Amino acid sequence: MNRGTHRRASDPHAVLGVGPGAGDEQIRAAYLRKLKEYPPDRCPAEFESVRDAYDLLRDRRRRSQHTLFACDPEAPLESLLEGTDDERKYTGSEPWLAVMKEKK
Amino acid sequence: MSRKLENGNRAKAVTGASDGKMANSEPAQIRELIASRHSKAAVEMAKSLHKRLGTAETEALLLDAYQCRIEDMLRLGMAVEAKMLLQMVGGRFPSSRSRMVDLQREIAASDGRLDEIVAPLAADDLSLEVRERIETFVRDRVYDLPALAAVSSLRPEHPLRQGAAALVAAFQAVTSGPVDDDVVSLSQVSRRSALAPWKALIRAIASFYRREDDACKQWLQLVPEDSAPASLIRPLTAMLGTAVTSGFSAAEQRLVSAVGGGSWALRPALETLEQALAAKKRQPLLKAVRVAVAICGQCCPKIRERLRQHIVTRSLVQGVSRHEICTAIGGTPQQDAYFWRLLARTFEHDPDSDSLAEALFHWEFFRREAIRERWFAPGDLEDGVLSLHMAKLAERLSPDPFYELEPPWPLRRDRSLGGLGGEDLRSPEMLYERACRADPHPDAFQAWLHWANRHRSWKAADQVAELWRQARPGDTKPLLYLMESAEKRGAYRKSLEHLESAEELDRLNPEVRRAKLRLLLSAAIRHLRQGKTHLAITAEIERIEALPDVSEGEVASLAVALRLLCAVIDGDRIAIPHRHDELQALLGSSVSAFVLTQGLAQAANLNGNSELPRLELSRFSAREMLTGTTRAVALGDGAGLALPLPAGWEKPLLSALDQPNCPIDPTQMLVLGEGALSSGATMLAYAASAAGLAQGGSDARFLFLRGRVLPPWQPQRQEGCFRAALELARRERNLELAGKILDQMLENEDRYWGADFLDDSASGKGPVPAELVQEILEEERAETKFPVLGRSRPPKYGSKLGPALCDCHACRAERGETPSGWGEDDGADENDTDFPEESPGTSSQALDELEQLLDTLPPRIAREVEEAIARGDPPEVVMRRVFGNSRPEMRSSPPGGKAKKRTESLPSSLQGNLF
Repeated sequence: MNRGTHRRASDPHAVLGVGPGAGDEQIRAAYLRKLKEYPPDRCPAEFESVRDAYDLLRDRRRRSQHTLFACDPEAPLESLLEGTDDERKYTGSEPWLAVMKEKK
Repeated sequence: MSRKLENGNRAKAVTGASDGKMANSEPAQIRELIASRHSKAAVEMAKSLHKRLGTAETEALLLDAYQCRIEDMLRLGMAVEAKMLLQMVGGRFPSSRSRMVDLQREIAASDGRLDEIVAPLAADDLSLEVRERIETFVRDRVYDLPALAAVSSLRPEHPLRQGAAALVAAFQAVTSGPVDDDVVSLSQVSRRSALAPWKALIRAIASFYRREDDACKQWLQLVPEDSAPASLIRPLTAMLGTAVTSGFSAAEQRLVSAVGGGSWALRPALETLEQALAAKKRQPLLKAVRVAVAICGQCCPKIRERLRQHIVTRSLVQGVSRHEICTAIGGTPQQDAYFWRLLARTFEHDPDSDSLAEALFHWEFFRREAIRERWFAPGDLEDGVLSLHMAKLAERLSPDPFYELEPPWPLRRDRSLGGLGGEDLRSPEMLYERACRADPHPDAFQAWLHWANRHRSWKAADQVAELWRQARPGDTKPLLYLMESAEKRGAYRKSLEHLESAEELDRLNPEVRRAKLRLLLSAAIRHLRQGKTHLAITAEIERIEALPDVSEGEVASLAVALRLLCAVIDGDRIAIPHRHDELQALLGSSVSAFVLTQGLAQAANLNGNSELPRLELSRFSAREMLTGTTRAVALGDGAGLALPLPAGWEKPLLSALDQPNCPIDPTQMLVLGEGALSSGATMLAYAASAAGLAQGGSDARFLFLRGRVLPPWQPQRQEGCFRAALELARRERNLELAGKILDQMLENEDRYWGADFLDDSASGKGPVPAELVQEILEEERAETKFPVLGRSRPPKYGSKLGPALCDCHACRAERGETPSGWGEDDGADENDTDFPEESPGTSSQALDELEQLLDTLPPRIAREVEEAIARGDPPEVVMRRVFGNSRPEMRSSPPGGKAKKRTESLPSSLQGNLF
C-alpha cells in the first residue's frame, strides 16, 4: 500500500476557537473576534490562517465535508492527545503525599 | 519447598555439622546469609553457633543476624514484631543497645513517634556523629512534615521544626495554585539541613506548574535518590514527558491522572509505539501496543478507546493479524462510527480494488452507525456529502462485471449486514442518486452527470441533467448540457429550445452567451458543410451578428469570416476579397484573418478550396506571426471552436519562438501552446511551455501544458508537472485550473498509471512540498528541448515523487531491469520455449525495432521518426511511412556490442494462457 507522508492541517475549529458543533452565527462571531485579534497588517500569517479556517467553516457543505473526512488514520498517535486537557492542574498536597506514604 | 522449611534446613545444615568447635566456614556462611537477606536462617545459625561457643565473636555475629532480622521485619511492615525482637535483644545483650539505636528510630518512626527520634537534637552537647545519624534518618525516612513541625521534644524555634513548618506551608501552596518566588525561597531551610531535599522538591513542583520544565528537572536532580521526597521524582519526571521504565503504582497513577490527564506519561509510550510501527517488526510492535494501552488506561482513560481503534487500524495496514492485535489491545475495539470512518479512510487510499471495496463497505457501516449515533439523520446534508464521496469511490472500483463485491470480514462476527447489498454499493448510480437526493448541490449533479456521460448512454446522462433541472430549476448548467447533447445528436431545434430556456433564466450569463455563440457557429458550419449558404446566413450568421459582443470584435470577426466562406462556396469573386479585407481590418492582422478563415474552412470541409485566400508566411515578422496566430486561436477558444494551426506552420512558429526577446506575453504564449496542443503540434506546444516557464508568471498553467505535451514514455515528468501544477494552482486558489489538472490526472490514471497515480496525486492526498515544487519547476525550466526517446534522461526529481516508475528504456536500465521488460529469471532453462511478449508486429516490438534503427538512419529521417513517435503515432505507421513495405532487416547486434542470446522468462501477463 502506498502510504503518503503524513500532513495534518491545523483544525479550523481550533483556529477560530469554536467547538465542532458551532453554528453559522457562532462561527461568524468567532471570525470577527479573531480578525480584531489578528489584523492583516500586523499579523499577516495569523490572519491568513484565520481566513482559511473561516472559508472552510462558513459554508455548511464544506463544513460537513471537513467534519466527515478530516480524520486522518495515518496521523501520529500522539495527535490523539490534542484536545485532551493539557492543563497542569493544582490538586493540593494530598495526592503528592500519598505517593510518599505508599513508598514508605 | 516452603520458605520456613527451607530456612530450617539451611540452619540445620550448619548446626548439625559440628559439636563444640567452630568450623571455619560457619561465620562466613552466616555472613553470606545476612548479605543475601536470609535473616531468619542467619539468626538460627548464629544462635546455634553462639550457644555452642559463646565467644565475643559469635555474639557479634548473632547481633548482626538479629539486626538484619529486625530490618527485614520493618521492611515487611512487621513493626510490632520488630519492636518485640529489639526489646528482647536489648534485654539479653545490653551491649547491643548502642548499635540498635537506628533501628529504634525506625520503629519509632513507623509508630509515628517522631518526638522520640528527634529528641536528642534538643541537647546542645550532642555528639556530631549522633546528630548526623538523626539528621540522615530525618532526611531519608521522615515524610510526615506536619508531625515533624509539631514535635514537642524540640523547642518551637528549633530550625528543624521551623523548617518543617515552612515546608508544609510551601508544599501546600505550591500544589494548590500559582505561587510567588518568596513562597518557595524557603530561607528557613539551609542547604545543609536534613530537609534540604524537600526544599528542592518544592521548587521543582513550582517550576513544573510554571511550565519551566528544564528548571524542574534541575531541581529534581538535587533531590537525593535515597531521601524521603525522592519517591515523587518518578511521577514528576513522567509528567515532564520522560519515559518511565515500568508501570505506575496506584498512588502515582492517581497523582498523574489528577494533575494533568496523564498525557505526559503517555506521550513517550506513544512515541515508542510509533517507532515500532515504523520498524514493522511484529513482536516489538505488539509489546509496544500492550505498554501504550496499559499506560493509556491508567493515565488517559478518556482516549483509551480511540487509541485502541487507531492502533488496530494502523496495525492492519502493517499486515498484523486482527487476532494478534486485538489480543494485544485487550479485545476488539469499540465498533462505532468513528472506528468505521477510520477504517474507511485507511482503505480508500489503497488503489487496489479489494481495498476500495472494503473502504466502501466501511463507509456504509459508518453511515449506519453515524445515523444511529445521531451524527446526522438520513437525507441530511452530511448524508449527501458522504454518499457523493462513496459514489466517487465506487467509480474507481474494477469495471470487471465478474468482479464480486464481497463485504469485508467484520471484526465482530455477528455483525448483521442488514440488507447491505454489494451490488447496490457497487453502483455509483445508486450512490449518486442518494447523494443528490440528500444534497442537491450542483457539484453532486455535475459529478453524476460526468459519470453518466462517461459510462452510460446519452439517454442516461440526459436523464441526470433532467433530474438536475427539476431539482434546481434556476441552474443553467443542465440546460446547457442538454443543449450540447441535443446538438451532438443533430437535434438542432431541441438544442435551441434548451438554449432559449437557459437564456430565460440568465441571459447575461457569460456561459449562456458563449453557448449560444457556439451553437450558432456550429449550426452555421453544418450548413456550410452542406453548401446551404443562404440558410447559414439567414438562420445563423445574422443571429450571430445580432449577439452582444462576448469579447471585443469577436462576434463581428466570426460573422465576417463565415460570410467569407459563404462567398467562397458561392464562388463570389467580388465578395471574397471584400470580406477578406473587412476581416483583416477587424482583426488588425492578416495572419489572424488567415488562421481564422483556415480553421473555419477546415471545420466546414473547405480546406482544399482554391478560392480561399492565401498567405505568404515569409512576409511576416516573428512578432506578427505569433501575435496574429494567438489572436485567432483565442478567438476560436472564445467561441468554443478549437482552431487548428494551418498545415506547415509549426516550424515557422517554432523558429519565431526561438527569436531572442520573444514578442508575446505569457497569456498569448499560453493560448499559442494550447492551440498547438489541440492541433497536434507537440513540438510547438512544448516550445511554448518552455518559453512560458522561462518568462515566469503562470507557472501552474505552463507546467500543466507541459505535462500534457510530454510523450507517454515520460510518465514521471508528466506526473511531476501535473503535481507541481496542481500545487501551484492550489496556492493561487485557482480552483478552475486545479479542477482541470485533476481531471487530466484522472484521465492519465486510466491510461497509464492505474490507480496508484490517483492515490498520490489526483486524490489530492499528498500535496507536493514547496521544495519539490521548486525543484520540478527549475528542472523543467532547464528542459527547453523536446525529449527524445532513448536519449532523454529521467528527471532528477523523479525519485521524490513516489512509487510511479518511468518505463522508458533509460530508466529501466538504471533500475537494473532488462530492457525488454521481461522477468529477471536468468536461470531459465535455455531449452524452454520462449514466449513472445506480444505477437510479432505489435507496437512494442515495432517500437523496439525503431529505437534500434534510429542510429542507422540519416539524421533528418531519424528526427522525423523521433518526432512522430513523440507525437504518439503508432510505431508501425511510422515504419510504414519511412520504409514503405520494405522494412529493413534488423541488426543482429547493437552497434559496438556483442549479440546476446535472450533468455527471457515467461511474461506474467501470458502465464495464464498456459493453463
